[in-house]
Amino acid sequence: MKKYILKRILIMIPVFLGMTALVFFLSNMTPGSPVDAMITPEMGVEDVEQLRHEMGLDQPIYVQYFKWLERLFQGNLGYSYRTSNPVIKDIGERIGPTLILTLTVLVVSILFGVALGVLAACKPYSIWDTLASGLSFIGSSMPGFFIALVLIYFFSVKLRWLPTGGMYTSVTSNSFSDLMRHMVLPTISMSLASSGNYIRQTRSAMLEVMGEEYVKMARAKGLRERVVLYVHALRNAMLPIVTCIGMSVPGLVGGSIIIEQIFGWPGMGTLMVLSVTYRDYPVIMGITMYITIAVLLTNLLMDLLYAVLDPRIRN
Amino acid sequence: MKNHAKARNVFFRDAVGRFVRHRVAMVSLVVLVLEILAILLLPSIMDLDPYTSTPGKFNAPPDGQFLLGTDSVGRDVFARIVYGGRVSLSVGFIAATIGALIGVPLGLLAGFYDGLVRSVIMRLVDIFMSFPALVIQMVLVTVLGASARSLMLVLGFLGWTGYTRLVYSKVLSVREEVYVEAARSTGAPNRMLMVKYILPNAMAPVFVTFSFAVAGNILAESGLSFLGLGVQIPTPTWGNMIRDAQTLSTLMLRPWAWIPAGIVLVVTVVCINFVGDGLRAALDPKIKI
Repeated sequence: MKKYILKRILIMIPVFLGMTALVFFLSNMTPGSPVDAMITPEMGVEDVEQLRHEMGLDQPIYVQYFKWLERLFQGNLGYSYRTSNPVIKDIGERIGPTLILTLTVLVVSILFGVALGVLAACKPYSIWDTLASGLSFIGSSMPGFFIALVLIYFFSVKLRWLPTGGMYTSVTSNSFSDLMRHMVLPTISMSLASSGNYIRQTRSAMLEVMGEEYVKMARAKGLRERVVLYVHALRNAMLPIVTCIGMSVPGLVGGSIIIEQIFGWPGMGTLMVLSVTYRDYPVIMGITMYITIAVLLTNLLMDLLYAVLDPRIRN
Repeated sequence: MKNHAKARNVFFRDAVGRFVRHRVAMVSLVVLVLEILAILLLPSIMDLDPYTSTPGKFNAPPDGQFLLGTDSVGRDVFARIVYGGRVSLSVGFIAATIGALIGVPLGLLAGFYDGLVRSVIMRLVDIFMSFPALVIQMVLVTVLGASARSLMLVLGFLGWTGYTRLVYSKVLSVREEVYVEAARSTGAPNRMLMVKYILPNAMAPVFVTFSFAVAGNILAESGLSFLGLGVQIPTPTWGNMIRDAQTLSTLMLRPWAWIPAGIVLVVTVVCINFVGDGLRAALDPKIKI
């Protein structure tokens, strides 16, 4: 087991280096340098050179990347070109809202998807099955931003039930119920797409498990159908569902960038879009790093969960 | 030789038969063909101009002159949907083709050769699949400059992993087939084994992946254009037309400026996915959906 965990952790290192290096080199390939934005008419060529030197931009790219890595391990991600704040501070303010939103979406879509998937697998080719499969199909074909806009149009503009965006109505009204009201539409627009995968996975995993001997055995013992379904069958169908959770995280992060932008959610997604428009590379790099770490950690967590659920994998 | 050709035709005929019986896929195919014809032919039948703004006709609701009204600078929304379709569909198809051109050979190599080649390729696939594509797409599109051409390149070069994974697993089973062993025993070189004997028998998942990739690329393009990082105005795409709805007044008061573009986008993506689903059922009769 120890060896398994160690192996998983060791694999993460090249992935992390590869990902950050890729984004670093790419953002440095952009035409125009961050210094351009800081040049004032009074500055001479030497001042510009001085500025480039201070920012370390006169060195080869790989040296800059290693410098970036070195500073990273000292907990320094540099300063935002846009706000001049430390990148850690700018991103730090945004992590909370993004985590709240994405974790809610993750939980909602797993619960919703697994429930519908089980329902569909209980009675294959029934009306419920068709509905669930149809929903999963349409859900994953719909662009989240269009769903979001349609939801805003109906529920915020026409019916005036829910707010059009933001996280709280005002600075003073930061109550839990206010937060919930603001979360409803972003959560629905993201969950519709991501629950589709869970519906499909759960359905096929359950169908496979339902034919097994131990399910027949459980039925033969006279257990109630609900116990057979949720205790005996679903537990063994969990493995592919866990894989699905791990695979859905990158999509979730991508989806949250667009959804945050629409709802003006003060998270990392809006910051990312802002930073890309302003070419604020330290922040882009910082966000990339946080996302990479988050993705790698969830993958590790899923691998461990996998090993817990399935003893055969540990060897 | 003649028998061989005949057997192939039987498989093809059976596959077409299975596809035609998949009613949803057939309907979707018809819708798509009609849509593509409309996008290609309408500009030469009707007098459509997606670029020029009509003075005094800003934000006009649908009427006889403009079927779907005009946008905030007085451009014909219907014309923009038709021309936007050209951009969105060509980005989707070309990017999916680039992805296939990269992903299929890699999958073939990874499946055929054991050892280092396989682990390097499959590890690369893992890395690319574990990272949120949108983040890299955003950075890359900014580097290359936001345009339809760079979107094709970016989405294509990032979208090869699905092909590689499926071709790889298919090749693993095909390479054990007796006809491959027979060809090997006659002294066929590796390249010939791969291209002539294995690849044709591992192609079925490629067509399925291709259609899902087209749909995925259209979604990605519209998402990036919606964020303002993709195809730039005045060039229309469905994504940057829906972007107009980010201004609250357009969202509330002028649904014609964004809802039709969204509906066309959704219908297109759903239909392409259904066609892909039909292809999967037709090409791999063992899989029951």
